[in-house]
Amino acid sequence: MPTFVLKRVLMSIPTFVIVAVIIFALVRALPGDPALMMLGGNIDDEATLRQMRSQLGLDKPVPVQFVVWLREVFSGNLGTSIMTGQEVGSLLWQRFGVTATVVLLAMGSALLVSIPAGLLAAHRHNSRTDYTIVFLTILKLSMPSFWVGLMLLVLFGAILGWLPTVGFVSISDDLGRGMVYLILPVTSLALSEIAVLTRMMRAGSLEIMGRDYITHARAKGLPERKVLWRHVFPNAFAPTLTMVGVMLAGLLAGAAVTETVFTLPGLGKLLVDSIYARDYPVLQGALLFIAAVYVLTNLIVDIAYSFFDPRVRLS
Amino acid sequence: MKQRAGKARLIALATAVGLGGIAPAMAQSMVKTSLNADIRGTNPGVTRDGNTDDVHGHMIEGLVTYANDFSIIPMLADSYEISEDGRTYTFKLRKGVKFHNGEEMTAKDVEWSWNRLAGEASESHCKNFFNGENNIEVTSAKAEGDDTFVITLAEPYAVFLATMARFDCGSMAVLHPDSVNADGTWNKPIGTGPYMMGDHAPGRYVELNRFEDYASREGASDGYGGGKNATVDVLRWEVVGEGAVSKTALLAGDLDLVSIDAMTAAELKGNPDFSVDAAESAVWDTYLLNSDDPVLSDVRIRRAMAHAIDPQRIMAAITEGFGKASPSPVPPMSANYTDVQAKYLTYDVEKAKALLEEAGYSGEEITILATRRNGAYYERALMAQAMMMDAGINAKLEVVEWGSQLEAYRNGSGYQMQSFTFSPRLHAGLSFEMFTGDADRKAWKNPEAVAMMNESLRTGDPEELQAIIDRLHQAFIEEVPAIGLGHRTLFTGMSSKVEGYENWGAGLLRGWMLRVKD
Repeated sequence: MPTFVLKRVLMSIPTFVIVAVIIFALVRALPGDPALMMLGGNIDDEATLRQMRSQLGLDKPVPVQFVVWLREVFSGNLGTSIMTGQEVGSLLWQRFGVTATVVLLAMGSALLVSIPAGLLAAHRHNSRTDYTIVFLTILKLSMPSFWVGLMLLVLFGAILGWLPTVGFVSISDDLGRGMVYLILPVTSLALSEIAVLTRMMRAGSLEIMGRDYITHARAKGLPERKVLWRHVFPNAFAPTLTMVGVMLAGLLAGAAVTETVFTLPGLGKLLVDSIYARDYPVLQGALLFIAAVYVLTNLIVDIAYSFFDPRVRLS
Repeated sequence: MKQRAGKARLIALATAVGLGGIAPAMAQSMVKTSLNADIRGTNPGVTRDGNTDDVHGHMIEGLVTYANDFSIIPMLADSYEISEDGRTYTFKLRKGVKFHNGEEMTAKDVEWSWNRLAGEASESHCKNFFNGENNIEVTSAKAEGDDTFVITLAEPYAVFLATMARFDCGSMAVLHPDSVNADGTWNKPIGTGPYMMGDHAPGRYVELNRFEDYASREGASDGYGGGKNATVDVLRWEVVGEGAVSKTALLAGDLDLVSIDAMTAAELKGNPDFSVDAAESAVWDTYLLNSDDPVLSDVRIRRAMAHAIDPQRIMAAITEGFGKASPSPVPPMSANYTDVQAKYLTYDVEKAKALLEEAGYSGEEITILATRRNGAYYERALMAQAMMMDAGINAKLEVVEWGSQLEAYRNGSGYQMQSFTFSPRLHAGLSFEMFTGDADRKAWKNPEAVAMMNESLRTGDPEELQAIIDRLHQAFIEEVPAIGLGHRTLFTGMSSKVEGYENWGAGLLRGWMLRVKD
């Protein structure tokens, strides 16, 4: 395994360099002048604009800007935010902490619901239970997450008054209050994940249930629960795990919609804000960070895969 | 957090000595509102944008500021005198004004603060307003004794005080020198305002605490000045990026005061648990026309477009009936808004068609640039397109990202017509200056108009100013460099918990007016 991990880490270096070039090129290709955006658009004088461009290093030729940025990135300095003056590295970590908390809690909750639900639907294939589960997942999949989030806010915040509609308290500051603020965003995110993962789990389980070794297990008199958990689940979960990896990486890279609706100061919200503000250092840093999250998450999933599917060996 | 811990300790102590009864009276009052993006920093005039200025404006004050009618009134100055040649401004400072650290303001602090923003080493864009880059050149700014501050200009300039009072420069805020560290880096704002800096959790919220020793001016609140008798202990701005979420939070009671749109204002109007304040602002919604464009270079086409568009209907539609047309760039609350400014090319489709025919218009495409990101740019463009098509103009809509539109605006190219909004200009001359001049971005480059506009900024004679503004408006109607719609109506929704708040034309929050009901 160490060789596999080392190989994957080494392989990711050229990936990062290519990603860095693409990120820099795409960010510079964005229409709009960051200096102009920073000054709010209504420019009163050219001198101020010139001064701002020079302050931001935007008066240098683009290739020079790229070399300067890459050199700083390799020395571990992602720069400082144009908008707030904060260090990009620490800003990303702060924001990633919030996103990771919400996403991991949501994914954990989603797996707790979707694995049994998918297995149950497959086990009761074509029954009322199966139809109900399938209907609920389709219903959820057809609802936009923004709308679901708002409805949760309206119901539990405005109508019932049970949960806060704005604000955020870090669980490291106050676990109890922090959890109260996390209930709605975690629920909103988990609902989307449950719908996808239940369908994946159901499809995978149905395929496995048709295999000879399941018939054999049943024929030798194994209780149905054991058949499901010992034989169906591990084999059916492997493809679901791949989906978990992809979803997890995507969400850790920023659940922008959820973060916007629930006023969470997370990575996705930071990314969206930095695009609108043309905050180049934050935008570039965030995109690089997201690429790293993808590489790392997929590495972890690849390693985990071998535990569920014995046919896969890390080499 | 520290504050809460401190409060808990006080209550515990009071209970311990048998004074538990006073504890409820010590509860702090708090009003929660929202910002659509976090503040950019705490350094007034340096780390700033519209949101940030709004928060800074509660902590800092300058020598002068804007009154309700946009005239200039003293704030930290007790009075000021302008020399006969119009070059020397002598400010007498108010006595007994304290900074948030308890020290009393002196003329030396005013001089230090002036140099902080307008000095050579300043990082603020404000220095370019006073170093000759933009007409005003301050040759000297000195303290004389403890209570006098004198500024001398190279040439007289009528909008000097108005420039000093600019919100984006924090009204050239007077701060205590301890606002910066010994090495010159920024520490925190130690101002003279009715509120002082509290907690700031980046990306989440910012809090200001009431300054107990605030020295208020006598009299009622007037614009951004006058008496500021703050009673709410803590003002808290939650960072809420989405308007729909702010509205939900207001309904849920998690926010007390929220800037809302016209539709929400109409919804809340009949709800007894909420109140709505609607006020016309100096924010000007308009369509800029590019006179360099081959089609629009013909003034008859531009006039036809003005006759084809009905500002009254558009303003009524985007404000749910609250707003009305005021096509002049000079806002109706300005002292310079008279019957002359109320005139505009009225909606008349037949006249538009006749002008198009006279100009030999043969269906050339006219594109309206708009963005969806900023308030109602898109909706206004859409309505204009429909009305122009009704008059036989081949109008197309091009929706772009805000950064792209801003680039087109700045370069003065890449558009024929664009739906645009100008932030408040609180001097009638500046209301024209925002789109008149030689720079690429200016829609009105006619040398005569530019000369008149420059003259309006120089004259100190109110009658002469009015005459120039009237002439400018007349020329504006004739040449149609832009089609004005109106001045945006600002809506604020409030829970029944708060009272005393009123919007005003400049569109800034004035938290010191708020009262929490018992």
